[in-house]
Order: sequence, then structure tokens, then C-alpha cells
Amino acid sequence: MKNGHEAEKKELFQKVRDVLRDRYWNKLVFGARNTLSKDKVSRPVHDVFEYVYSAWESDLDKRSETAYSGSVFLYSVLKGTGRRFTSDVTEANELHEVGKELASFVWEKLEKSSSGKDVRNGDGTLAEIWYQFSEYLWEEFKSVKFRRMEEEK
Amino acid sequence: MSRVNIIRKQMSGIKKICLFVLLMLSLSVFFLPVINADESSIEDEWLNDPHNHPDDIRVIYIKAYQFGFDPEIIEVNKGDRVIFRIISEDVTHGFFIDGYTPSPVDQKIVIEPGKIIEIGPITFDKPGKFKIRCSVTCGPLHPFMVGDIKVNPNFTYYSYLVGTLFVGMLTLVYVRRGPENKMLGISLEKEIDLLRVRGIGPILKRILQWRGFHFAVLWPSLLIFAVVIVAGFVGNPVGNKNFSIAVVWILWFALVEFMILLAGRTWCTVCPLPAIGEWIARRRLCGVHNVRKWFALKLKWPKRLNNMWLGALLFLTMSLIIPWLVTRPVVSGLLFVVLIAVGTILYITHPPRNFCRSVCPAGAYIGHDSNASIYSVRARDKSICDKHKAKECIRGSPEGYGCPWKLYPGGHDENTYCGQCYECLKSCPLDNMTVKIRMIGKDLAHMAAKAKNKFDEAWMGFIRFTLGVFYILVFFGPYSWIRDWGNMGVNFGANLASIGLLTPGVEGVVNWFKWAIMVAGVALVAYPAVFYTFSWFSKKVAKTDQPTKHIFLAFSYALIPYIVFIWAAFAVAILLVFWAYPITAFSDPFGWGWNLLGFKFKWDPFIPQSLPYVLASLSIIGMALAINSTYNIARKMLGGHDKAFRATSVMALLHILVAIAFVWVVAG
Repeated sequence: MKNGHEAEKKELFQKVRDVLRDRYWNKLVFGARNTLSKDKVSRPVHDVFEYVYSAWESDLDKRSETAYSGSVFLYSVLKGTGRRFTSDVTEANELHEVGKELASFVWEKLEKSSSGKDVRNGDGTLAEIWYQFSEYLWEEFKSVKFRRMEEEK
Repeated sequence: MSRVNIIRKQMSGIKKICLFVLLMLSLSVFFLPVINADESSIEDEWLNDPHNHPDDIRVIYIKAYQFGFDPEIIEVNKGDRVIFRIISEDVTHGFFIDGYTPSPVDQKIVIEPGKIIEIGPITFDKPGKFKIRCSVTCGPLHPFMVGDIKVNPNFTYYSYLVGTLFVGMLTLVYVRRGPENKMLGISLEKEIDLLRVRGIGPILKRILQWRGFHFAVLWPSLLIFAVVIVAGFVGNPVGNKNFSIAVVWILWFALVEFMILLAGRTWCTVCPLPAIGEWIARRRLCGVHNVRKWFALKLKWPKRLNNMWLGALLFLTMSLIIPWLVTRPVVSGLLFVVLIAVGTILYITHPPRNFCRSVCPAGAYIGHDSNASIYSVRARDKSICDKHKAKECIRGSPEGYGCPWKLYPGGHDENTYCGQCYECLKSCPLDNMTVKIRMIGKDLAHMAAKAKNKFDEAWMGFIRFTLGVFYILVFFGPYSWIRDWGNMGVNFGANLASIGLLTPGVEGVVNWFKWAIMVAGVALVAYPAVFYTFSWFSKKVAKTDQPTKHIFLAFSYALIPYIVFIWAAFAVAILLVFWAYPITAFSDPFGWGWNLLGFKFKWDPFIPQSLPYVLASLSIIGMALAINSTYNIARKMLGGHDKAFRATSVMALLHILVAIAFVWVVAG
């Protein structure tokens, strides 16, 4: 059971990484020192965590809110890359779908946890997942960035 | 020359306690009259003209009363020189003939009770139909106290009759050629993406996608409504001096009619009625709340009410009390308090815009009629919306709410329930929603094809259409008895100090029931029955298997452009005649003699003699559009051109007959 859960989590991590790599990190603008903060790199994921937590806490409908979280993810990516719209339906669908999956995963975690600790507090199950997520994405981003810098050279 | 036999109404003995004065003034400018005055102590003197007028001068006797003239219709011949001898049988009245007497600002003709006023001689050198109007506020229905003078030969009328027939036949000849998807020669496929028009497009897009836009346009209208309500309760009880009547029932009422044609449901964008409820439910004035928890009960709206019936019937009910509504500020004030309260409560109990969709009487007719608008909010490319899974336009996004009108904006193809809140423009991440400018009547054919059980929309059309014609007859026609019935009686309300809420007598209530049965009977039964009969004939002539019910419902959509133009005619009439009231009301909202903005205008109709031409022309345009729309609908429904043309030719006969009736009302 635990292995199944881990596999599901890993698969989700990879999906999120892939979509962020293709749709987000590649379009991010680096700062003057060729740097990007850890927060910015995983911002869309963070936004989904934040939203799902608030919605769950407010006792809203899971189905509708997880679907909405897909749009939260999409808009976070658009905003992060300095866009208001995308003309690419595939991109929009992909981002929405991954965001929705991520939100369902988070919602389920919250439902399972008895206390539903705030993701921002750094304790509880969800906080742990968030920590793992952000670390994972940061490492992945660094490798992407490294490759990008190599290519630019 | 025979005296006009004018006294149909017997004057009561009590009212006849009066002295008569004959006032004589002379004017020298062309046809402007000479106004004479003299005094007489008996009414007989009114009928026994003591003056020896030359043989070529005709004397016409007029009795002015609340709210009409006796005789209601006067006929003279072109070139006649006429002296009017006028008395008032109740309160002080005024006298003004469109295009013949001088501007009431320059020279107001006042008829005090018990005095004989002699006006003239006026040389009637222009043929046509002209209105006699009261120019002194004399009671609630004063603005509509009118009579007719026909200067024969009435070429205007005859030429418009011929013109109506000619345009009707011409439109039929045009559709006989089988134009596919066209409206009077213009392709219905042509559309302009307003948000991509160079220059204005990007600016407009930024404005519409700005989250503060809705609030920015709402608060001024909310402020105006606040003034309307306060003025209704505490302002001057004389309607035309009160902001609540002058601004709502003259300015707003007229502007909305033009808005429907040019900007669809733009009124719904700025309407303050549901605004308070929306702000409370959303817990935001402008922005999207980060957690979508509404301060609302979210009760389910009854399926049975999820249509236009309630709004349509409320609109009809309002129309039944319209003589009160548009003349008594307190009634208007009360109506808006009720509407805002209901709008707010329903938003909180049944969010989001169920009030606007199904209850609001203005929303119902604006939504219905705006299907003839050149303005629409639509998806640029529907296939993109189909492919996009997230459907933010329904569900909402961090940038915008999901459609509060419960539509799927990406797929909708009619204006009926699109309140133009532009949330879809904000929430769509694909920038696929836009504002399109198109030809009148683009959506009618496919709407009609889907309308197999939409009796609500059909009856909304019948109510609007018949009332449009009826209002012209009631408010701008010479028949004062109709106005009296609607006003719940005869002669009550003479006391200007008490023209707020008045208690009508039994006779008044009985009269009102007659009026209500007449109006509702024509709108709900008589005209739909005639329309059904013509639909049945068109089915027979077209030799189609389609049920008559479907044809009847589908063809009712062809009335929409006709309705828009008939009501535009009514709006033009209101604005040209009463333009001074709303402008002055901004400077003196409560009618207390203020002059806040430094301007005040006296009642002075603007080229009122042009009204028959303008009104008849607008009805003819409406008729032509209705005939062409009928053809487009028939072509979509019945398949082939021949069947469509045959069906159209029957319905065209009805549209032409109605246009002729309208021309008769305004010019005949």
C-alpha cells in the first residue's frame, strides 16, 4: 500500500517536473546575476498547495475546487512567465490537467490527515510533501539550468 | 363654415363656476399665431363668438381637460386660416401645436379655467398630422395630454402608406432572389472583432479585462439610483420635475432602446439592481476572492422558473401600471426599492444571477430584444473552446469568475442571457473571448431553429411588440379615454400637491380593469392568435410538414428587429419632446428649485413636427428587417428556397399590415 502510494507520488512529481520544464522553466527570465529563487522555481506548485489547503479548510466541494486548481496552476505558470494568455490550447490543457492531478493528490492527503496542518507551517504530512516537492523541483531545475547554460556557451 | 361640434362631455355644474377671459396678442412672424384675450362671464360666449371674423377665417372650439382635448382630432385643410377658441374645464392648461405655435419658452399660451383664450389666426400651410400639446403642468398625465390636428390633404400619411407597401414588396422581391444568410444585402457572416480593431481594440480590451471595470461603471449608476429613490420619496410630486421620473422614464428608458440595438445588454453591465447582492455574495467589490467561498446560501433555482416567463409577466404587469409608474415619483421610488431588495436577496439565496436571468422585467425584455443587436460577446474560435478542457469561462479562474449567468460563453450563440459582464474575457486563459460587431439579426435563424418549446421567448416578443405600438397610441395619441382608464379614473389628481399616491374611486378601479384587460388581452391573446393564424397559413402555403407550433414559435423571432425599431421610434418621440426634463433634473433632482449645475431648461419640444416622419420611417425599417428575418428563419427551418419564400410571403403580409397600422397611428 505504502509502495503504491510512493509510486503514485513519484509519478506525479515527474509529471509536474516535466510540465514545468517544458512550459515554465524554459520560459523563465533569469535575474541580472543569472539566478532564480527556489520560491520562483516551484511557485505554481506552491500556489496549488495554498489554494487547495484554503479550499479544503473552507469546506468547499472537492471536485469543483480541484478542477479550479488546474486553472490556478495554469495561471501561475502564465504569470510567472510574464504572460496573461496563451494561444496554445495544448499547453493550457496540459498545465490544467497536471494542476488538477496535483490538487487531487493534495486534497486526498488533507482528507487523510486528521489535523490538516497548514502547509506553510512546515509540520504535518502535507508540509513534508511540500518540502520534498520543492527540493525535488529545485534539484531538477538546477540540472535544466545547467544544461541551458551549457547550450548557451 | 360650420362650427365644430365639440362638446361630447357634459361639464358638471360645479366645474362651470368660472369667468371667461379672452386674451388677444398678436405675432407677426409667418405662421406664428396671434394670441388674443378677452373676458366673458358665461360659457355661451365661448360658443357665440362676438367677433366678426373675415369669411376666410375658421373658428374652432376646443375644450381642454385633464388629460386631453375635445375634440380629440381636428381636421383642417391646407391653407386654412384658423382661430382657436379654447376653454379649460378643470385646471390651468397650456396650448402648443407642433410646428405651428411659437416655442413655449418664447411665448407660453396659458388657458386658465373659466377664461376663453383665442389663438390665431394660424395659417395651416404645411400638410400633415400635428400634435396639440398641453404646455402647462396640469396633473400626472400632463406630458401625455395631446390631441391631433390633421392638415389635409395629408400627403405625409399617403406617401408613408405607399412607402410601407413599396418597401414591403421590395423586401419580398429581394428575398425572392434567394439571398442566403444575408440581411438586406449584407452578409450575416461578416463580423468585426472589436478587440482587434487597430487603435481602439487593445485599449478596449484592457478596459474590459481590467478587474475594476465593472465596479467603475457600477458605482455611478448605483449613485444615480440612490438619488432616484430619494427623489421618488421626498422630491417634488410633479413627475416631470422629479429626477426619478425624468431620468428613469425619459432618459434611461429611451437610451436603453438605442443601447439594445447598438450595444446589446450593456445596460445589464451597469445595472445596479443586483450589485449589492453580488458584492456581498462574492465578498469583493472588484477582485476575485482567493478562496471561492461565497457569502450565499446557494439554493437551487427552481427549474420551472429557469426561463423568461416570470420576467415577461412582470414586464407586462409594470406596463399595466405604466401611467402611474411614469408619472408618480413615489411609485417609481417604491418600485426601485423593491427591485433592489429582491435583487440583493435573490443573489444571496440563489446566486449568481438568477434574478437577472429570470425575474428582472427589464432584464427579460433587454435580453430578448438584444438578439437583434449588432453587438455580441462571443468566442473567437469555438473549436478552441471545444478543445480546451478547463472551461474557465464556466468554472472561473484566478483572473475572473465563471459566467454568473450560467452560460457556457465559449459555445453560446445568442444574446438572450448574456449580461455582458465580461467575466469570460477576464477568465479565459486563451484570449478567445471577444466583442463582435455584426449585422442585425445574425443569430435569429439558428435561435428560431432551436426554439421548439420556447413559448416564453415568443410571448416576450408578442408583449413587447404590441406594447410598442400601443404605447405610441396611448401616450402620443389623441384618445384621452385610454389614458384615463390606465390612470384609474377621470379627473382625479387635479390637485398638484397630492399627485403622489392617490386613491382612485371605484369608477377608476373599474376603468383600470378595462385598461388591463385591453392591454393584456391584445398582448397575450389577440396578437398571438393573429400571429398563429398567419403561421398556419404560411405552413399551408409553403406545403411543409413542420408542425404549426414550430413555425409559429420560430417566426416569432423575426419580430425582434421589428420590436427594436418600434421601440426606438417610441424612444425618439420621448427624447425629442421631453429632452428638457431629464437634463434639468440633473441640476434640480428633487424639483425644489435648485440649480446645482448652472443650467435649467424649460419644456420646448425639439422639431416635434418631424416625429411622424421619423417614427414611420423607423417602423418601415423594422418591417423590412422582420420580413428578411422571417425568410432567413424559414430557409433554415423549411430547407428549400421556394418553401421559405412562400412561407415568408404570408408572414410579410402581417408585418406590412402592422406597419400600415403604425403609420396610421403616427401619421394618419
